[in-house]
Amino acid sequence: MAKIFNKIKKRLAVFSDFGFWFLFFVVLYLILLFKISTTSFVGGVTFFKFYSILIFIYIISRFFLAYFHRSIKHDEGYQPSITFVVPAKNEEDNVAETIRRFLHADYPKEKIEIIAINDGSTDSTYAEMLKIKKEIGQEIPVTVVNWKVNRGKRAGMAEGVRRANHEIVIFIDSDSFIAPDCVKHLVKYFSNPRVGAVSGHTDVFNRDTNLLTQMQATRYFIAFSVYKAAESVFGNVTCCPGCCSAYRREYLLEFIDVWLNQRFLGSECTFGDDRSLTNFIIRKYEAVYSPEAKAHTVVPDTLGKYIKQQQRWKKSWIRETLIASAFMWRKNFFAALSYYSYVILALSAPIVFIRAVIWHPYLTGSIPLAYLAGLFLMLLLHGIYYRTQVGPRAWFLSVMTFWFYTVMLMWQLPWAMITIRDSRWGTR
Amino acid sequence: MKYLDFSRLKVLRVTVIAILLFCGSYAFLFIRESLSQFTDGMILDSKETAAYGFYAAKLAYAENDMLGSLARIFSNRSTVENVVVTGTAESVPVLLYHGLVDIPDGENITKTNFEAQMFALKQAGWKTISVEDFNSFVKGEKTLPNKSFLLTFDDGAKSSYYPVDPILRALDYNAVTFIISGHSLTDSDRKSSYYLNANELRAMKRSGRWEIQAHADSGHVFQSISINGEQGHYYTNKLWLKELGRLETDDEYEQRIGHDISLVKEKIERVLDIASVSFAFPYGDFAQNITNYPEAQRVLLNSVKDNYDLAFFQTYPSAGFTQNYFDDNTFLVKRIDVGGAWTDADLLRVLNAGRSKEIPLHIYDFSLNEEWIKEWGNIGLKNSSLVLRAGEKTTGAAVVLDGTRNWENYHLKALIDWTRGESLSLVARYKDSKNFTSCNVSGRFIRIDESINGERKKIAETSIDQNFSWDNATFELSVHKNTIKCFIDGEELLSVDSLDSSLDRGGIGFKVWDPVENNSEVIVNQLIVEKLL
Repeated sequence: MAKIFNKIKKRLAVFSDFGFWFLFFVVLYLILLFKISTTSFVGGVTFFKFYSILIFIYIISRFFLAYFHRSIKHDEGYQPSITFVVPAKNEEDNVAETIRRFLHADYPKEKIEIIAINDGSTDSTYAEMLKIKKEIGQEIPVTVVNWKVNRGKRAGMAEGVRRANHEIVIFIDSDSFIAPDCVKHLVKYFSNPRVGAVSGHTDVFNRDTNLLTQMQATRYFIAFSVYKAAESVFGNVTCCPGCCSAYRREYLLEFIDVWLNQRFLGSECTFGDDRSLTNFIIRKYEAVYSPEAKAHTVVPDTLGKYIKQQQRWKKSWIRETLIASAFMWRKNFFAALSYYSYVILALSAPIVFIRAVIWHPYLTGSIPLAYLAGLFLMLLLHGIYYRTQVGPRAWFLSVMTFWFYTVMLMWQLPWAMITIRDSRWGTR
Repeated sequence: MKYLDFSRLKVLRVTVIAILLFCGSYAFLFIRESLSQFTDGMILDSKETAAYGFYAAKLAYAENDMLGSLARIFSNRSTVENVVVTGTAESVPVLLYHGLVDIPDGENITKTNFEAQMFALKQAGWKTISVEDFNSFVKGEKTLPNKSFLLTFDDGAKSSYYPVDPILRALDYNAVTFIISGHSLTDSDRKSSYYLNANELRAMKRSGRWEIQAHADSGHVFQSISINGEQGHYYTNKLWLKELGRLETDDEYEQRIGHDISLVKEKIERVLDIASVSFAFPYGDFAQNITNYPEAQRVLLNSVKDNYDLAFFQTYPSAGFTQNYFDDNTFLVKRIDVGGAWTDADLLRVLNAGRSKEIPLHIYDFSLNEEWIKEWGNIGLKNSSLVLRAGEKTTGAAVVLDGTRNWENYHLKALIDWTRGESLSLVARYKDSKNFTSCNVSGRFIRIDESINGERKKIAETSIDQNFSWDNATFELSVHKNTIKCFIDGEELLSVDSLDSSLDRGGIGFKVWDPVENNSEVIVNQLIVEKLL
């Protein structure tokens, strides 16, 4: 009886999946109709019509490319040696677990080494590192570097690269945890000598803490499985994040000193190290995304921390975007086209937002229903996609929160531009 | 491109979905029109209901305030005077609006302004009336309560209905919309996105808040009226027939406008099943100003008269009083064209200025009211005195005081400085620019004129022996039944008792004139009007 019941349940699950896919295309269709109806009277300003159409094409093209994205097969014959680099500051809670996961990696132990850098922690991070070294040191060589004074994450990463003896350097943030098969799926791409960096797929570890982390879970998932996948089709992933990415050491050594001493508008670059590093790679080589290389990372669980983190990301985004804009046109035509489209969209978004939500309602006294509904439909599309990929989770609620935060945090990009020279981290 | 997977299944799926979406979007383009009636209806209904709720709540709040002021009746009577309306109206103003706009464009009024105006009118006790009541009123058949007004909209734009209707509903007002049937009641399938269509007009009719009347069929346009391609109004000019190389003949003109004027009536009656009894001249033009055919006004008015009971135009400076009077017995109706920049206070001021004034009337400070209607030349203020001065290109200046149209027997005394000009007139029993009487001083003569339907004649004259100083002089006039008397510095100089019986009532004004342009000026320092029994 229970067997039959389970069978029926399985059958139904297929339909439910199908149902969400159907819903996905219904929403897509609605957006399409919405665009057709609204572009005929967005107030007649070409710029805003252009924005409306471009953002639609951009987002649809991301889903389209992500759908056709193919990951390569793992080849047992290609197993380069790897070095895990874990820079950490005040991470006593997570650093040991982060490193412990390396032991369980589904990869020949003799090809692994670990370099942990304690970057002037004021808590017991260093002790935790020594403890884990003792615990797993017999099986995998662990080097612990102890800096009394904080030098910054970038210095830590560079130190790891210099000290590494192996072919591939894998950066794992001290609050990220890799899945056992993560490594082999990361390194398999390096069989192609053009590849200089590979981004893993990172999901949110503390997903169920609250609405904020649920929302970030949706955001992370979409950012990796849709947007990075789409970039990866052209070998042009613009950011292989610090939480879990692999780089070819030989290529890193070409510019590691330049990168370490990078300055922007006269001030030292203290964040967005990962985006900056990827930027150096893709000038000459390719950066790709491996959807099977899974890791989890801890995300901010309070609004204050989240806003500060986003502010750092936005600043580094502006900096690295300016830098990448200078060479991106030389890349594949479609890659360059998507890249510049995205830059235009990201920079216009606050203008469009201010016009639609503040300026226009101020003049006319009307509620910006069309804009907010359009924005909501777009995010709903992402939310439904998330639901089709990960199964029953609090997807709708996170769409709502995502929507809310998008509206609330729209001021961040312009603010980041104004304060771009302020390179303090703020508390994390 | 090694990271792309173009497997047949994926390509097939995407192709099928793309085709479906494309067809869906394409189909949407086709059914959008008919669909939009349905969805627009739904969206607009909900929007309108929401707007109505908002206005109704706002009104309830405002009325609460009014109740508050009613409660203060014992302490301060004047606060409620404006609200409790008693008596019958001597005059009725007609307001003209077009579509409402979101962003001020200087021409049309904004939604916010319109809303404020309607709420202000409501709170001041003004009430709307129907075209039928209005017609009975101006024909002298029916009296109306004080503070009645007719609310009209020209052109039948969607923006003169959708934002307006919830306000009317909340305030229990009704309005007239003058439509262009060539746009609104067209047979073509192509629905206009600007003009109201037949479905919308039927819904308006059903609501009971809207009367739909005639503006034009295709006559609301400018067309070529001379060989040089000069543009002129369709109804008031003979058109240039390019192929024939000539202007229309008298008959052609008469037939063309006659056809258009009756066509709009016929369409409204046939399509909407509404009796079309009134007509608004496009651009308010009935050839009172410029035309290339001197007979245009007569022909046009006849044609409109054949089809309609009332014809509306926008009042203009020399049209005299701003409102329409009981027993005006006219078919030409004045409308106040509400300017794009008018606030609610401006509108109330204009409406109050046009209401009948009480005698005695004492004006010592002319800056306190703006009720003088400029007929001609320039008027202005100097040290709280009223200044009439000829313009650069005019030989004189004239004003009348709004709200005096129904005055009967009165004595008018003005303290003036007459600084320049050959003649000076005190005007009385003024009904409009063609019907009035006046005391005129010109050189060594004083004269009484009367003007009946534009025909002006002298009914009394005498020479003046004394040498009057016109510096701070007193100029007086009295009218009692058919007797009119003129005084200078307290001395009765001329009198006649044969005033035409049609000038039984009428208002007051001033006029100054000189044969030379820009060479006449009079300053009115004080004005005192007393009742004569």
